[in-house]
Amino acid sequence: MIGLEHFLVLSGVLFSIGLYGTLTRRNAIAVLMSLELLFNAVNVAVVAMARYTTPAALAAERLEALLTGQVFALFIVTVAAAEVALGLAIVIMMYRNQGSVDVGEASAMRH
Amino acid sequence: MTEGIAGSGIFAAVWWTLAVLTVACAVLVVRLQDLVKAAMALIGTFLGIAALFVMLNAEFLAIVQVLVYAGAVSILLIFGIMMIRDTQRGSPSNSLAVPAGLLCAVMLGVILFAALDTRWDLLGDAALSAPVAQGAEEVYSDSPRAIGGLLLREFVLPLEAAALLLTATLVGAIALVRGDE
Repeated sequence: MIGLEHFLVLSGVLFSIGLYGTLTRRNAIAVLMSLELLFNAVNVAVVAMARYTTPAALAAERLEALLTGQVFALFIVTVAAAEVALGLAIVIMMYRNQGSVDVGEASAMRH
Repeated sequence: MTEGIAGSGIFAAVWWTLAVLTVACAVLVVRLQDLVKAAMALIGTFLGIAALFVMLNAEFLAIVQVLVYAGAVSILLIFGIMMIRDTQRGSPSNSLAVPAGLLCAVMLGVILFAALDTRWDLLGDAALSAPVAQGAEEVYSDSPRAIGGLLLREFVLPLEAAALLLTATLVGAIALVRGDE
């Protein structure tokens, strides 16, 4: 039977894979893609928590509180979309300025 | 709630299939040298997570996930990959591979310990009174309405902050890329 722990372990595995990618990739766009994995892993954990655990509000018969985790996840999606748009703009500027998107060479943002 | 389905063997089989596919796609995202293929694997991960959201009674979020991640974000990333030519030769990992692997293993261990060792205050169906269980069923079956209500009441300040953030991002991205011609 699938329970909260299954989703949390899956989320942890995805988070670790994304963290590994973020730390080891050289290409800035690949780093951005790994960052998206981190955001998604957190979303899975948040929604699973909202689905399986008892919020205090449930005792007070405020049932919309069951969806609080989903609202959190919505905000995370918004922030992640903004982050990727801005990150890509920075990567493209980096490529224009120094002709490469290797994060190892990007010690100076100034041209 | 949907305990009848959630407790069945089919649910478990579908969950394991999705979990394996999602993790496999995530590994491909991190390991593949060809970034276009890595982006395709990333779309696979997004879709797998959208399916997991459906299994968590979060259908609205699943649709948002497909629209925003599998649609917009991945198109942006692929667009970026194709605009920048030298990504074709791929992305070998840097000298940090071994320490980073160790760090991630430790991280995973801590997360697993926290997830499995904690006694979660679970929402057992037996503990719910019949009207509460039925109310929860109604909230889940009409979740977009309830989410909208939450967004415009309890979360109206974060909602406005998100709108401000998106506007600032839009202006910032245009200002950055346009340069000063």
